[in-house]
Amino acid sequence: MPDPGPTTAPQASMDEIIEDLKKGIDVTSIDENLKLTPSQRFAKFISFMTFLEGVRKAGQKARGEA
Amino acid sequence: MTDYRGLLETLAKSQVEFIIVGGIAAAFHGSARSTNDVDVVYRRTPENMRRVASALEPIHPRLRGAPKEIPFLFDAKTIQRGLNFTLSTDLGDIDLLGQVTGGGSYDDLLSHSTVTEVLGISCRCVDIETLIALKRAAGRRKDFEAIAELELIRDRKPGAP
Repeated sequence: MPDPGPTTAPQASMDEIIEDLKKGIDVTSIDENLKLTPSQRFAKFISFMTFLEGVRKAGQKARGEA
Repeated sequence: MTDYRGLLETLAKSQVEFIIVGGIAAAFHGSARSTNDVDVVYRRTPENMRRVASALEPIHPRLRGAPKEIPFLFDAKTIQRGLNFTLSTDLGDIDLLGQVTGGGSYDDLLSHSTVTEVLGISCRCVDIETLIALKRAAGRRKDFEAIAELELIRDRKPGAP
């Protein structure tokens, strides 16, 4: 009797997954960032992280966890 | 929240030889993704390990996730005996790497890094091609999105083929 082979679908390779993920990335934000200097990008990153922290704290407060 | 600038400034002020890798390096190259810690590869010379220890001492480094009652002395001897440290400090989390998968040591990465001024701090940051290679070598699923974004950034940079 012939070997039925693997019973599960073959896993996608890392390259296939990465190429697929690229389709979902908003390149306009990449292009905006590329117009900035490294210092400006870092400042924007810190500002974004500060915003995220503020949202996280607000969520905790709303849930009565703060 | 991690004081990213404060951590880099702490190392730079003590003239620690280090190269920024990981999420901060990605932000430097234009990534819009978030990260919670600072990842650096430090040079493993006796002098530099002393600098690392004395730079971090005032901000109380401790092993991340370890119970507080476990004593931990982060000095040059500890660094010498270990290699990669995931630490929490008063300024936030920092990964101090003596060696990184796919990239080797500080000396191996040196020619794949550039010195740049970031918010008034002079830092050495790994180049985008090497950063992608490091993330690919690590092979972690959680890095796949970051790799996808970095490759798009590389290909969209002015002058890219």
